[in-house]
Order: sequence, then structure tokens, then C-alpha cells
Amino acid sequence: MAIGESQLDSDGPSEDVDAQFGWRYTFGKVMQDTTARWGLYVVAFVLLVSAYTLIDSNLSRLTFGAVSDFAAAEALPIFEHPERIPPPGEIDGNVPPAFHPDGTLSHPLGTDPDGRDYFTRIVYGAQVSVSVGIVSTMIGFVGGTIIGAVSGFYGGRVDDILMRIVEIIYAIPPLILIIVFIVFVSGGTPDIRYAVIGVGITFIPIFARIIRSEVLSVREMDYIEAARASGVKNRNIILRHVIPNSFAPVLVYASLQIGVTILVVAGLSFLGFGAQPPTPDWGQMLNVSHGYMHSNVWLSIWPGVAILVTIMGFNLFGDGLQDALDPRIND
Amino acid sequence: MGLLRYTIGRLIQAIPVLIGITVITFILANLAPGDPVRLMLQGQEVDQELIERVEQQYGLDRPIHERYATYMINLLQGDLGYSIHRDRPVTDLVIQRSGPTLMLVLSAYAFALATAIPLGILAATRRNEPTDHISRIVALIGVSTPSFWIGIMLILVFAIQLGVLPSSGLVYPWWGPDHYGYSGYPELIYQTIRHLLLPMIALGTLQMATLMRVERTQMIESLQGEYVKLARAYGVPERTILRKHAFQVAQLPIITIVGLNLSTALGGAVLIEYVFNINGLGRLLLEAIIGLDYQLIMGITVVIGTMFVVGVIITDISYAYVDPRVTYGDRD
Repeated sequence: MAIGESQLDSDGPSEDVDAQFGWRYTFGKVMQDTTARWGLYVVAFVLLVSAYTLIDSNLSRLTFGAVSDFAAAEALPIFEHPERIPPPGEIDGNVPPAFHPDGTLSHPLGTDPDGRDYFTRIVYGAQVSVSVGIVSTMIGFVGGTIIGAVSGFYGGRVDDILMRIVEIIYAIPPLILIIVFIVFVSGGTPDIRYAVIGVGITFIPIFARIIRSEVLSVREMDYIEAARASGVKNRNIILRHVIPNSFAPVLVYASLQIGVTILVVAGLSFLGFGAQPPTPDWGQMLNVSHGYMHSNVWLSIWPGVAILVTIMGFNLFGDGLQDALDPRIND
Repeated sequence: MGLLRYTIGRLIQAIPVLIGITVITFILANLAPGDPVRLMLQGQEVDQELIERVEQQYGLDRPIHERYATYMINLLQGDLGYSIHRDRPVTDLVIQRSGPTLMLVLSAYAFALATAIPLGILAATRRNEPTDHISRIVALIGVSTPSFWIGIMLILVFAIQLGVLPSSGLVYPWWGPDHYGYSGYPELIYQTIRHLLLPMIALGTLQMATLMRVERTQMIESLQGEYVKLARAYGVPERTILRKHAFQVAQLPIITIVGLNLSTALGGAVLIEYVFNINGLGRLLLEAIIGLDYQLIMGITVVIGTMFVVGVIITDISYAYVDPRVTYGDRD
């Protein structure tokens, strides 16, 4: 992303055109749109929460209790605090949320069957979901940009072969392709890393198609001709001229795709192919809570609400970005 | 004549894609680290001789291209391999489990189309009014909510709290009323719908939301068309304009979206079948994965991929049938 930005600034269009299509202009337009602004707020909030959980490993100030420390210790396996794990008798499982008559303020959203504070786990889940969403989207984005740019720029046989491969990957429903990928590549022991890579690879075709269609028009531009005439190598033309100038629609798509990615990874974790316990992933939490639907309704509600809010934020923001960048919809 | 030629052309175009699906599936299945037979036995103590015998029986000792050739030859004869764990041919299992999945996906589409088209038109005709805003919010929530969570919420409300609808399984009308001990066909149909309702909504909501957005944009565009202006100028009643002039043109992109989104719907079916305990292809896939049943996993992947390709072809053909402007690719 950073490369494209600097490229656009340095050898992009002249300044008066820049005022209409530059990044600051785009941001201004996004902020003008009410829904997009709210989307941005939600995204910023989720990002802040996930950044916070990176710094604070036990969240003691937010969760007010001894058991919560245990929850935090369990929440991320990196932080091991065996001394904080309460003896079995003290585990307070399936506590309802605070507004319920049986609930306590020390566990605002209650506890899970293992006595871990649900609020802490939901908060930690943000970090898992957001990083997974962004990393997989980046894999699809980078891979798709390279394949799409090469395919569109060279055309001919290269284009044919690459696009056929893309078409074939497209033909297997993503979720099924990802599941099969995870199972076979991991040899039957799924892990969130395989899920991230699998989702990323599966989304390469979609990105490749979008950037290819852009490149097809960019490659006919005079400045490409000029670069070629002055003896710039193809590789450099693609990297310095073709990709930066076909960037905007893919960027919009990427912002929308983060939401889709989080949705898919949540589904994978729900089925047991993504994050594994005790990682506090929202999808994985829904998988566990599925078995407690009769005894503790709340367990099934909170992670879903968290997923919904996060994805809605990314979708609102992506829609706003699309409106801001696409002059056709502005009427 | 043109349509027939177009259909045949589309079918021929699909052949390389279908072959590609088998290649990808085959490559994936061979990416697994280690010895597949050992993986399938999952750490059980077995002697080397048995492993070798199993390998020989399934041709695992031969090079990959030979195995692929055998797989393809068998596939062309309708043989998808043999499930070791279930001791049954994969083809039988897949055919048996396809019915529930198709029933689920098709009903989800019926639900999505029946709700999305009227709501989309309503939103388009009342653009920027409260109705429009509400429908846009509904669509936004629809595309942002995981289908499996919608399923869980529906179970919580309608099956657990209210106790009015069943939370698991489907009733398959093709098994007849006697199989379930129902009094007759009316009860069979009633029970089929009752069981299908929740999973159908859970799977259909995403489709509904996507289609509603497309329908709205298309109708807005269509209502701004020259032909609509002309019809208005001639004094054609607004209802007739909506029904005849604007509506028909706006439906064409919907057909394409339905075909392409079949991919999400088939994937989503795995999740919904898991949530609602439906014995479809998705659950079969999950069960096959637990046992690392290679041939079964490959068979299901190939069949689901084929379903998607066939679905896209059907929508392409119906598109060409509905829209007289499509030239069946003759002039491309």
C-alpha cells in the first residue's frame, strides 16, 4: 500500500488533477458521507481495541476480578501465568451477564463454561479477527495485483494461461476450497495460520481479475508508451506505472474484502478449521457455545454481535470509499 | 437455433474448467505431508505390510500422473473412488447427500429472490425516503452477519425460546409420508416446510441482502432510462412503467448474480448443515475430514465444483434466453 501511495504522489498526475483524485480528497469525501464516517469510526474503534490487547496482556483494569486474570492468561497462549490459574473448585463457569439477576458486575458479559471472563475474551477476539482479516486480504491483494498486472500487461498466452487458472480456482466454492486446502496442507491438524494463508490464496483470483481489467486500459496510456520508448524494462513499467495507476478500484475492493475475510475465517473457526482453543477467536467461541445453547444463551450472542459490528464497520467504510472514488455513483 | 448452439458452446467451454477442478483437488490431496495411509489410520499401530497392501490396493505406490490418469478414467465412468471409512463407493454417498444440499440451496434462493426483488423495487421507487434507508440498513446487516450465527440465533428464538420450529434435520419429501409415519402428503409437505424454514432463512439472508442491493441499483438505473422517460411522456401509468418497462431490464444482472453467488451459497451450506444437523454434502465433507477420507473429500469437492459450474451455465443460458440483446457470442 505504501509503495502505491508514494508512487502516486511522486509521479502521479499534476497538482490540480491531484486535488480531485488525491488521497486527501478521497479522505475528505469519505468523511462527508455519514455512513462511511461511521464505518471509519467503527473500524478505528476495533483497531484500537486490538492494538490495546497487544499492549495490555491481562486487562485487569477492565475486568475487575481474579478469575479475569486467569482468563487473560488463557486468552493468549504467549502470556503464561500459571500462578493465576485458580484451583478447580473456584472456577465460576457459565455466569450470566451483569444485567441478568444472577449476573455480577465483575463479569459484565458473564463467563464461559471454563470460568473465563467473556468480556475479556470478546475484546481479545478483536485482535485475532482484525489481524487475520488484514493479513489474508494482504495476501490476496499482493498476489492478485502481481498476477493481474502481469496478465493484463503482457496479454496473449501469459494472460490466457493465468486467467484460466484463476477461472478454475474460482470454480470451487471458496469455503470448500479453503477447508480442503487447510486439511491437506496441515495434514489433519488445522491451525489459524493455514486458515489465513488458505483464505489469502483463495482470494487471489478475485483481486487478479479486478486489477487485470484496470491494467487493460492503463496499458494503452501514452505514458506507458513513453516509458517503453525511453527503454524502461517491462518489470519496472509494471511496478512503477501500471500497478500504481490501476490501484484505486483494487484498494476499494480490498477494504470491502477485509469484512468478507473476517466472515470467512469466522466460519472456518466455527467449523474448527481456524483458530484453535484457547485462542479467543469469535468464530471458535461460537463453536464452543453451540454446545451450551440450552443452558447459557448469552455465550452464543456476544461473539456474533462482535463479528457483526466489526464487519459492518468495514463494509460501511468500504462502501463509502467506493462512492468517494467512483465518480459514476456521485449523481 | 442460436440458443442451442450457445448452450453447446457453453458446455464445451466448461470442460477445461471441470478438468481444472479435478487437477486442483488432486494436487491439494497430494500436498498432505507424510504418508496418506498412515494419516488415515491416525497413529494406530499397524505393520508395514498392511500399509503396503493398502497402498497397492489404492494405487498409492504409483507416480502422481499415473494416479491422476486412473482417477480421471474412473471419473469419466462415474466412479469417484471408494470411501475406506464407510466402505462404500464415493459416488453412492455423494448422490445420496446431494439431495438435501440442493434442497437447502434452492429454497434459500427462492427465499432470497422472493424477498429481495420486491424490497429492492420498493427501495428504488422510494429512493432516499425512510423505506429506502431501512431496506439499505437491512441489506447492510444481511451482508455483515455470518450465516451460521443467524442460524444459531434463529434456533435460539424459534426452537429453544418459543419452541415452534424444529432445530435440526430436514424432512425429505422424496422419501414419502410412510417413512416418517405421517398421515399423508399434506402433512409431509407441512413438515418439510417447517423443517426447512430456519435453515433456508439462515442461508438465504446473505443472498437476499446482496440481491436486494443489486435490484435497487438496477431499478434506479432502469427508471432513469430513456425508454422510461418516453413511456412517461406518452402518459403510460407509473405502475405499468414499473412492471413492464423498468422491471424487465433490471432483472438481467440479477440472473448473473444468482449464478455467481451460487459459490457462496454452496460454501455457506456447509456451515448451515453443521448448525442444523442436515445430512447434506457439507456435513459429509466435515465427516470425511475427521476421518481424513481422501477419496471422499476429493469426490465431494469435485461434485460441489461441478454443481457451481453447471449452475453458472444454467444462469448464462437463461440470461441469453431472456435477453434478446445477447448475441450468443457469435459476434465476439
